[in-house]
Amino acid sequence: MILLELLLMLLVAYGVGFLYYGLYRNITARFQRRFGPPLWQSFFDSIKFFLKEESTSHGWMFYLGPIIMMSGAITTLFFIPFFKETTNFSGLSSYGNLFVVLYLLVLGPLGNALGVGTGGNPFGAMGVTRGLSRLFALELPFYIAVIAIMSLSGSADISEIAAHQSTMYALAYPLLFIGALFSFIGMMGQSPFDVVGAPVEVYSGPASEFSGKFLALLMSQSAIYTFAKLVLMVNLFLGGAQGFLELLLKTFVLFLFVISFGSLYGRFKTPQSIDFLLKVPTTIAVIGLILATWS
Amino acid sequence: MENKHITIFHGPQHPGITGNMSVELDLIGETIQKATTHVGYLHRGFEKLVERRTVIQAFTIVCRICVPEPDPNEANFAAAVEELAGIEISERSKYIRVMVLELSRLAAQFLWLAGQSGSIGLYAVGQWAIADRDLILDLFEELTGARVYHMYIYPGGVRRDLPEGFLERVSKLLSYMKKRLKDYDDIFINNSSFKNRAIGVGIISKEEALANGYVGQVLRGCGIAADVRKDAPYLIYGDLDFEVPTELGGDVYARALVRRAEMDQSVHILEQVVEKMPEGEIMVKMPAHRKFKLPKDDTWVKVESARGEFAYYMAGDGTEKIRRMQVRGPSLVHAYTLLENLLVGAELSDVALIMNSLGICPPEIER
Amino acid sequence: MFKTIKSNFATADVEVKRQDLYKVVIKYDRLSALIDFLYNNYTYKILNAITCTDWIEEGHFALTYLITTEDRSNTFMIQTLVGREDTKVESFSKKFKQAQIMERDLHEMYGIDFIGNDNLKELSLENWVHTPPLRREFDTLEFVNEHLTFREGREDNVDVKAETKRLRALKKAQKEADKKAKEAADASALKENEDGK
Repeated sequence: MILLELLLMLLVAYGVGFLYYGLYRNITARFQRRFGPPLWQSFFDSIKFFLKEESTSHGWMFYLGPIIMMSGAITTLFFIPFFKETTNFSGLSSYGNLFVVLYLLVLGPLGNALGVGTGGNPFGAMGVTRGLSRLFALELPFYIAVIAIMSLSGSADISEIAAHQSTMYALAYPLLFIGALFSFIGMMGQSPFDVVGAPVEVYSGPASEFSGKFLALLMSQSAIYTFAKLVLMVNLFLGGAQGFLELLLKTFVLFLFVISFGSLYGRFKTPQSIDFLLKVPTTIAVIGLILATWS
Repeated sequence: MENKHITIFHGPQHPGITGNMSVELDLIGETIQKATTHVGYLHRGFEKLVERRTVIQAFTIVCRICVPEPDPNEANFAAAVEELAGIEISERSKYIRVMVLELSRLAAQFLWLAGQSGSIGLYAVGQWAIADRDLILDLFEELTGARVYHMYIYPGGVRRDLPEGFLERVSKLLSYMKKRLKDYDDIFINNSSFKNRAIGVGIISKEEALANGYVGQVLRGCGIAADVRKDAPYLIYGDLDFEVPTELGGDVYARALVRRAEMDQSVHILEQVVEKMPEGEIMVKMPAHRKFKLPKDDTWVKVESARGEFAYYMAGDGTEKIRRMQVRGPSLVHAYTLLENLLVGAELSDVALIMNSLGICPPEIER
Repeated sequence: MFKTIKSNFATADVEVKRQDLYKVVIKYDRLSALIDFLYNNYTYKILNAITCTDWIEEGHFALTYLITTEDRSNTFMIQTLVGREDTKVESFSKKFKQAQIMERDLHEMYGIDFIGNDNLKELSLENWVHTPPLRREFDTLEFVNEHLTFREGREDNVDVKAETKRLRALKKAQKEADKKAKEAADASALKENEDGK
């Protein structure tokens, strides 16, 4: 029974993730006064990549990199419940709470670093160094906001946090939401914090050496991961969801905001983004934390 | 473990370079220690090709020397031949040449916008700029028959007269451009992420710029009002009213502001040309091409292109073939003397930004 | 200024080509002295270009230096004639930094050796071992025919001029044949008429 539920969660995340990726390409295209590709184009691209052979091989750790990333994405998804106040589609969240999820969020970049490091491509190594140095600054405002939320809800269980929100935390404690939102934009890989895979500087950064099935794995894990992160934010800040429609609506609104923000700003350099993230969102989140826990 | 010191090739197939060249970078971490420019991927041998050709045969290949902005080449070639042969062209053809040159400048500045915004990841601006440049290329297609390589400015005048209603269409486009250029201010020039990236990056000092013979917006971004159209006016620029924008600062942002102001000036010049266009002949009577002999003399002509001063040296030898034609584009000095010094100490993220702001165009370096 | 130049440096008059362009032809040994003179006294401080023309029938290269005033209102073309074989010219890369790349270009294309230039590596060509290409004795058509081969499948490629001539001659012969046939037919028809009568 639980296995069936996990499989369904995975399929929903896979499908919706690729749908959102297609929507992202189309919406960004409309900002740029052009039409985008068909909605399911990225999905078909990843299927095509699965059918291709790799041209290079760099040893067993190179194979392990994408596999670690994919398993990290899937496990993160399983520990995040889709809905509040019901055990349908709650996955394994009764066995692990928010701390486990936060820990699993770091698995992606780590798997990346391990795999890309053995690839020998200098651009991959540069991209990974950027990602890892940015990671600390990216996580800090997010963790501060999450600590505030956990203390406000009195629990570290995600479905309880979602159920506790009579008004959404985004509206009741806006400073916390804003601080976490900056981190979230970076986690989704949008400008101005998307220095990791800047095409004009380091070709594609970490994904430079991957081809064929590795690239398909990377694209699929990106889709699943996107959906998992969106659902997490909806549960933490936007009051959770009670049905598929509400879940899709809330994740889409959040997604739309993030990509609109990203298409209007250029990217910061790595030291600039670390500087910014350690100053502005952290301060906002800390003020929000103080205000939230004081009252 | 000496793993920090690496050498990479930034190019020749790279989204971060303007054209088809490469810059070999020695890096420690992400800071550049040494930069070496490599060109040669686009050498087509124009200067040797021209030596076997008569004037009209050379005219067909001259526009292909520079890819983003072909018209200064044609104008220079025509001016050099006319000077050698002592031909005087009519007023109307001078005005039409100025119109074509300024439209081409505007199109090249849009292309620069696309490159500069792409170098910081703002692809929206790039797509808008290419779409607006397309409207100018439609006008060119109507006037000359081709969108990019026009082959329109021939020694003696221009090849075709303006179609009916062309000047009205140009005026409509100019009023559209005046509204549209303000959008670019909002999204790009005043964008805080661009200012963050561009201010203080790639600074060139005024003395160095003057002494080393840099041209174009490199000089104007350092505060020197250098423009061939004002210093040594050609065609009818002496009669037109326009300014030369300058900025102090010498960094990437100053050069971007200068180029943006130049787009406004181009629109202003085009409005005057459309208003004042005289009637008359467009082409003087030229001798048959196998009998068109150039005297044994040489000359040096120059034009202000979007990237700087574009100059031609031409020598004839009494036969109908051209003895020597040398192209001196602005990028030869910028890509070698300037770039290799400017990149030392910069970061890898800034290479694309700096190269786009200098306006380096590899086809005219190696012809 | 022109008088001083003529008396101290040049053999001929300074030519005024345009309001903003002067030209003088001098001997090579007075070149750097003239450039220094103009640099120090008349603000000709910017080196614009160095060009070279190959006058093979007269046996020399015409090396031209173009320097511009600081306010960019006037350019001076200083032309010297140097030999075509084993040319060695003094480099100006210490005085003008941009001269280094211009001299590198000329070295590759003409084979002129610039003494004092520390970077005369190849620029546009790669592993070029034949004569420097912009010299007049280098014939590009001959080089292509000798060293490069056409791709296969082009053997039936015909020369356009020869083919048009052949087709025109064919058409003309056809026309003549038709005319003769028509005349013969008319003649025989006439003869039949006469016989019939």
